[in-house]
Amino acid sequence: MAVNDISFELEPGITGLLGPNGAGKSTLLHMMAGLLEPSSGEVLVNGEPSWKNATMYSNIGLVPEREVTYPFLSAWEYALASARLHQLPQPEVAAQAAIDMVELGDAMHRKMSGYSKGMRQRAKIAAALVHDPDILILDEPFNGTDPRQRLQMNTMLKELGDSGRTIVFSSHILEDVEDLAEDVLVVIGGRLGAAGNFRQIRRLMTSRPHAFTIRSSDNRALAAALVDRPHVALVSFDSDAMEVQTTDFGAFTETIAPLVQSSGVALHELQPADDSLENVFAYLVAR
Amino acid sequence: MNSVLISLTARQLLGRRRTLVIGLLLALPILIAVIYRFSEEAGSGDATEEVALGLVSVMIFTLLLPLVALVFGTASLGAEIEDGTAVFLLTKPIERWRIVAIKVGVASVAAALLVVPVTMATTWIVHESPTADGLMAGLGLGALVASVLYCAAFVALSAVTSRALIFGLIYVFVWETFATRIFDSLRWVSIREYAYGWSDAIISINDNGSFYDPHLGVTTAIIGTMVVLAAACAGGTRALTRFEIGERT
Repeated sequence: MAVNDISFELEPGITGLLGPNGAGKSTLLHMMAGLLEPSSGEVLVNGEPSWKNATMYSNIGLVPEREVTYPFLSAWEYALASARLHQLPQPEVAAQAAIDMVELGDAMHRKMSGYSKGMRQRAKIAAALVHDPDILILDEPFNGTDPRQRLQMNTMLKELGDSGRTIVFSSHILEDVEDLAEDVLVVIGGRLGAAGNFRQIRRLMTSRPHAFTIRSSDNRALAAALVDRPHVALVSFDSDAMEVQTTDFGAFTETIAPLVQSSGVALHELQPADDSLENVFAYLVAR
Repeated sequence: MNSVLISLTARQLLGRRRTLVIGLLLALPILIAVIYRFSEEAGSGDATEEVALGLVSVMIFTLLLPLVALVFGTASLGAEIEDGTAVFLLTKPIERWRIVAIKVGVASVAAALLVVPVTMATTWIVHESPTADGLMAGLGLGALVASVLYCAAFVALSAVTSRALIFGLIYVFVWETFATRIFDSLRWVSIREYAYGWSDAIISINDNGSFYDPHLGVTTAIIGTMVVLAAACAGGTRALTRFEIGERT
């Protein structure tokens, strides 16, 4: 995916790179990691170009989405190889510390070919952290992890972020980013949709009109009661259902139940009509 | 650092089924040599010379040696790029020339360790006096040079293109086997001819009618060898320096 006209700066702390699949997140991360050449513009890491600059890897750890583990190695051998390739003074100590950090100690001497996806993911992170880099780049680190591993990864990344490192990770899942990152970059269609503090962006998201599909025993009676409310912006009918747009998500969800009750209508169905992530992105980009 | 690169490359090259297949293929010329040795034709001078050189130059130098080098050369770097593990190496502060040199070195040693003994053993089994005229040593040296040069070329090729195997096959079987026979001048650009040139420095027979038929002098062979090595290292290093990760491939 080509990316266009994207400009931003990353500070220490955790930054989430959010966007639907195919939006250009990996392209951006690979450019930061010096694995893609920007056809125009520049990508600087600590003030130096990332392209054709092998020495910068002393300061960067990359956890790619693709499989980069040697199946015939154990996690310990993998982390140790990484430490040796970084020419660390005490490779064994560094490898052990990295393995401990990702809590892979129990399985560290088993071949990685027998690992689950989540374990391989952690082995990749251990190898990327072994030289204690200031900058950590992770491409879809939550892919293939179960809820427990997700929580573990969250805690680990939070600790790393709190220790003053610059961490950037990509995800197509809003909740992953919400849990972890103070700052986000939203990429859509190869362009930057939004950048900045997550709460601010979230507020933008909550102030957009939300649409709900409603089916009830008497749609028109319910509609009459709904249009009376200040937060209801639009009601439209479609055969046996109606769509309601509200400007205030919170107020709508709180008042809909008492409203249904007081108007004596039986509610069959109430569901958000446009809550997909793509819609959220589309809304952000449209602004 | 070097030892890690060497051991990773070696384990990836040899830890797979391909080593077994290559070993079986390389047993063929030895097997044929043994069969010949116990046949009725064995012992007559002319026939022996012909079989020895035919077996070595056609079966080993033209077919098996380039194939083995192609497999090791492309597997050493190309397979790592293909399966993604190259990213592990390339995101380390290692000079790119070092990666190329080690990939070439490991592939060459692996190929030579298999091919040189097979070349010398085949000659030794077929020929009554294999050490006469420097035949065994000369062909062994040729096999060594060819292993290194083919591996260097194919490692570089796999840094440049993901279709290294196809281009390698075309080079070996179209260029070296056919084109150089039709147009004599093309022999100046042939790894096999450089290898024969080195062999010729030791072998003292001059039988133009036989399969063993060197066309280049030693000096030309040495210059050709240097050019191939330098071009492979420079080209491979340049390609790795500009390595771009393939998205979703």
